[in-house]
Amino acid sequence: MSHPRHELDALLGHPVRYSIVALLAGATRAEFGYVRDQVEVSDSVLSKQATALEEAGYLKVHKGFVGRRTRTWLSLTGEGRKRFERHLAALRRIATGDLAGA
Amino acid sequence: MTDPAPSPDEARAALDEAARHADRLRLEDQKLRLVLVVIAVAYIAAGFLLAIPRVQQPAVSPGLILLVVMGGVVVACVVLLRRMRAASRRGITRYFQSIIAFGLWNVTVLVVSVATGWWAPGMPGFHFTISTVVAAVPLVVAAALMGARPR
Repeated sequence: MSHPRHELDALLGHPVRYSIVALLAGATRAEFGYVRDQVEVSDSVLSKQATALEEAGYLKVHKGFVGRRTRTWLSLTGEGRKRFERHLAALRRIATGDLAGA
Repeated sequence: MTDPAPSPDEARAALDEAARHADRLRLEDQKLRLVLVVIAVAYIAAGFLLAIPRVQQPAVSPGLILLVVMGGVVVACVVLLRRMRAASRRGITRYFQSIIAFGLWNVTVLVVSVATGWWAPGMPGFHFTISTVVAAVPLVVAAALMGARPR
């Protein structure tokens, strides 16, 4: 049985990307400003990391209007959710010291 | 392949962060709870208004008051939902399940009320009010459960 580090997702090794995906994992979607506030990053950092995740197929960006104001919403794709679940499972194994696999 | 591996402490910290985000999302679900409460209160208020006997009705027709109340409910729900910055998957699922349960339970209460003669000409108005209160039970239960930590 392989070491759980091999199951870790390289893209989610980045702390900001991990935080974004961890937040979106439980959400249907979240507003850009909400993610920025919760992850505690600037607009530009979030925008850059969200683009990286979108290009990798982990995340979808939706734009819409609320009244006259434009709003941007972020949501995880099915693939992004699957990758995050696998990443979490590997983290759990590392956290519990189950390095050989159950 | 990712190397080096995080330490067990780092892995635990990452898992804790994911759990913290889930908790914060549950706070956003409180707005969905408020929407359910608004619908339940308006529904029961409508039950009271429609149960007022004609001779005791206020100068303004209950139908008009009902229309204003329902219009207010729609506006309040739209405002609350538009103010939501995020919604948890669990919260949204529970919200729609509650609305469907409310609809089905409502039909059941209506059918039973008519079939048993609980609603019939000559019956007191409070029968109607009691039925609306009973019909609103799924909304009240759902509002109480909304935002609760999953077991």
